[in-house]
Amino acid sequence: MLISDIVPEVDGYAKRTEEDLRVAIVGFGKMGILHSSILNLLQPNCVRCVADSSRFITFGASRLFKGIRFYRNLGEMLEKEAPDLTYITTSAQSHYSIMSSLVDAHARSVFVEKPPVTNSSELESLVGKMSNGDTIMVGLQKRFALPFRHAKMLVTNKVIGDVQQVLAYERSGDITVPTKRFNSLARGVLLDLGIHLVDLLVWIFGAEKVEYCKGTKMQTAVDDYLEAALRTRDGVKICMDVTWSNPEYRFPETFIEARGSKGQLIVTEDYLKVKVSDPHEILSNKKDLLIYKPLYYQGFPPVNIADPEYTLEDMHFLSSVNSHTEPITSLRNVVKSMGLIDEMYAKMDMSIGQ
Amino acid sequence: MVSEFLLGDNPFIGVSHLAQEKAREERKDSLVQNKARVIEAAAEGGATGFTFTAHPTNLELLAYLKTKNEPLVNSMNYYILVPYAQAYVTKANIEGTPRLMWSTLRNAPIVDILATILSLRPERAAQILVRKEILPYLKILPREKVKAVLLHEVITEVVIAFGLNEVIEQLSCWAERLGVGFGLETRNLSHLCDRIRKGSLIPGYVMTPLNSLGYQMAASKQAVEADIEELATQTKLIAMNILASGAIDLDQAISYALNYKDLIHGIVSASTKPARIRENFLKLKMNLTT
Repeated sequence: MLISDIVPEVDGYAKRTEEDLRVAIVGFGKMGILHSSILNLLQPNCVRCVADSSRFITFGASRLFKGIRFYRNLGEMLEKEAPDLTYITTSAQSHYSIMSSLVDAHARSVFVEKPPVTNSSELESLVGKMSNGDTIMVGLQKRFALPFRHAKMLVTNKVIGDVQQVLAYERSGDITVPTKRFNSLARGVLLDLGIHLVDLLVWIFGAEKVEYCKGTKMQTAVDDYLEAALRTRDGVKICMDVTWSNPEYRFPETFIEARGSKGQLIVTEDYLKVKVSDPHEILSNKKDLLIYKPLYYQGFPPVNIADPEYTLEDMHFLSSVNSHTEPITSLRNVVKSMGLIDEMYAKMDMSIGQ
Repeated sequence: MVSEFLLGDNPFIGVSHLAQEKAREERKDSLVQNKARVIEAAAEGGATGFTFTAHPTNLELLAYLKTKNEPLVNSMNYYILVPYAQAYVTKANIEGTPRLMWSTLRNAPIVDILATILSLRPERAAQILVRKEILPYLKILPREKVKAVLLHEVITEVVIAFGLNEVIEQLSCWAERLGVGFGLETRNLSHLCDRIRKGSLIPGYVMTPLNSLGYQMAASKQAVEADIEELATQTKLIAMNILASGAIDLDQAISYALNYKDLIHGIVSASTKPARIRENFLKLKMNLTT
């Protein structure tokens, strides 16, 4: 297997980095700083301006990041700067109104962090407003983690035969103390973290229906833990759980185990493990495969901040804009994932737990 | 020739760049007594120092070790990584970034806050943050044995990406006044070298991954290998992640490190198993000091 087989954007992004690129960041918190650092290393000095509503952030950051112009008003920044690309890295509640403003202002290339919106009706409204040629990509970076990309390729090529059952989880220890931060959003771990897992299950297996969904409040007034059963379009059952309140998980971890008619596959951000009954050409005529993360990322990607999938995601966005192609996590391509999340919330049986 | 053989702390604080499953298992074994035994075994194998993140469990470990084996604590060299970034990431998830920044500053001495605001120099905030984390360790460790404070990659990569030279200058001066060295930890060595070529301050130490796979070596394995040759003449290089997070074995790692033994100042190895870490340092020392 060659890296270029599963990461075609390796070639595509480089053309763009030779151009004079102007990037704007909306929201200069944790994710804004992460993406702007990656972009500035992929193409030096491409981040030109930042809009953030916090006076504390804009004042402090403007003294430190001297090559960047800071604004507290998005409209003013768009008018004065006319950026080529705009990254939205604010809190989830504000994504819809900011994207609407950008679409109205004819900003044609937009990246928005996950979740893109809070529900499907907002998503449909935005997709309806977009013109041909507009690109809005969603930051669902798990699709850019190479083990998941590799797993998708193996499942699509039926290396484990027909998928018969899937077990999956997404767990983190991010919220282990009480917080009211998510009260106004009225949605919790499923929308914030579980969207990665749901999106992978839609992308890899074609998940499309919800059988049941149980949520539990632990640290917040919304879902901190949930378990659910989904069905794919072929009727395959998927059992999943999601939490952000498990202190054993220092970093978020995504786990998927698929059992098929010819073998099984386990994949996380860290490794891919495959065992099949007969040797397969895609497995170099072997019956087993075990690849850990370091073997996927050998001297690659060209920028290494946080997890490699963030850089690959940004390279993919640059590549898509450059080649005028639809990103794999475009707003249009995550409609099914958001629809499934809405259905899970509608069917969620909520309880209070520890 | 390599002169520092440093025990790393990743397995002590639940970090594995190979698999989080492994890290969770290791953390379950990580009682303070076990970790102290690992440090003792590392020293028996020839380790000359300990490099660690300013994680609360490391403070507990060093305090414990000082009561049990003070001569060992006094004999080792220390390279402390600050800030303990994951704690801030978790707080940002709960509070949001602006509130996190404000609450961090609010807990600093009033003189420092006023100096930061009145001087209109937010880079001083980095110094406040670093000092707050480092001081508890300086109360336990002999000052002359703290060889360097290393800026954690979470901050370093932002500094490199935006050329925030003032942050490096501010921290270098502060470390100098404190009587310790100052360095950067980075996974983007080639990008750091680009900044240095454009006139950025050269830190006293640079800690960076170096392994035969090229894992965590950006912009590429070839670029980092070339840059190491250049940078070694200007700073003290410390090679970390020599086992590519466990994807290669020690013999392969040594074979690769031999190419750089005249260029690197220090090398890091880590394990939760006393026997293994003793063996690792015996082999590393035997091969890289002759």
